[in-house]
Amino acid sequence: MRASSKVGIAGYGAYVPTFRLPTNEIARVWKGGGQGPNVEKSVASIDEDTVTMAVEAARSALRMAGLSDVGAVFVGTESKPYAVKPSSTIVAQALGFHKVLAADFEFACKAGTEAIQVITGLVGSGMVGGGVAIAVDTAQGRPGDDLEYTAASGAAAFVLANNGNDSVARIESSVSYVTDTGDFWRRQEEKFPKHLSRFTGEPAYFHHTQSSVKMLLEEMKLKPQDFKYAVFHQPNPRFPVEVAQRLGFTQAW
Amino acid sequence: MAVSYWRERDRYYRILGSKCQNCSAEFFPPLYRCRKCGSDKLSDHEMPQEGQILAYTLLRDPMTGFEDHDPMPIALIELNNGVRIVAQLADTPIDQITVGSKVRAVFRRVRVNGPNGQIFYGYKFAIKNEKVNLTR
Repeated sequence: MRASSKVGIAGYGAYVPTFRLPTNEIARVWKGGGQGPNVEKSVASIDEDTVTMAVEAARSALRMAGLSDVGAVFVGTESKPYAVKPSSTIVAQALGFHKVLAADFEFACKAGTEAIQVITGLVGSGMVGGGVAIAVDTAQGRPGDDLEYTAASGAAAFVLANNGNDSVARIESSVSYVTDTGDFWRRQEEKFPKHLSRFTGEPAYFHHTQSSVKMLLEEMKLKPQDFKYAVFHQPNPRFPVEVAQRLGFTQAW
Repeated sequence: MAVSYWRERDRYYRILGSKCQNCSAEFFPPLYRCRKCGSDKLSDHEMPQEGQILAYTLLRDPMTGFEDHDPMPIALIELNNGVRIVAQLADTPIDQITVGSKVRAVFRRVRVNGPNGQIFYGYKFAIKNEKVNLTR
């Protein structure tokens, strides 16, 4: 998918909450000791949620971009404070924007990417001058589930605008590959998500990542060797390294 | 609370005050008439997001709805434009709050009306010291 005119990243911002939870503490509580796959994870403070973190990341991105012509504010998250009432309108109000498209995007891990793709289309078609795409979560793990080690809190925001000399990077192309796969869900009224463990790897992560990367490489007529860096979704330390090797990105860190 | 908060949400979300178009004096909360020159020509003006602590206190018995914040640090802050503001401090161990500390505004939940009610957002301030020790 390519926009009719070039779209660039004019600014970006990230927000990671101050507090940390060591994963050996999680292991101590549930397993009597040991260590998680990572040393620690970030946790939101008592007065933080995805709205507050989205605002912090977006303010940082907008300061970098120095852009006032913003026509869209999209928030992608799986942990909305309200089941009914958009997070994006609160964020837009806090940023001082009113004449904007505002919407929440829903997905387990891909919501922020969707926001970037939609704003790329809006900017590329000339419908808006610029837009803010925010990915944010206070991810939850069911008590005792392995997800508890890595489900953390943080936000990233990207300001997209027409590509110019000041752009940090240019968006050349993007693709999307979706199926209905019952890997990860949280029902209405439920506090924690559930997942089918044996679906998380092959049918979910690897199938979708490999399919979309192959689509993108075909569309752009490129191969893994043409890239210096490749970054994959990182739900745990093992999956991104393995998918990079499967796709032919030979050096993986 | 919801209606009054809604009317003043820009004040709480963006620290939106007033600036006198006649003498350039800045105020927070917003005013209809300049306290310095008496002019009624004031415009909305966003306050600086940084300042320093002039004084602080700890609420050991916070009001209903804020029990989880005990002890609640409240500070008198002088913003970088000289305007003074009273605000809750976030993310800071109470023994590391000192008069003169540099602070920056953060966007936080201010009040939550129970499990089914609305969430009210607004400004708080956090100490800028990157060496604040949170590991204890």
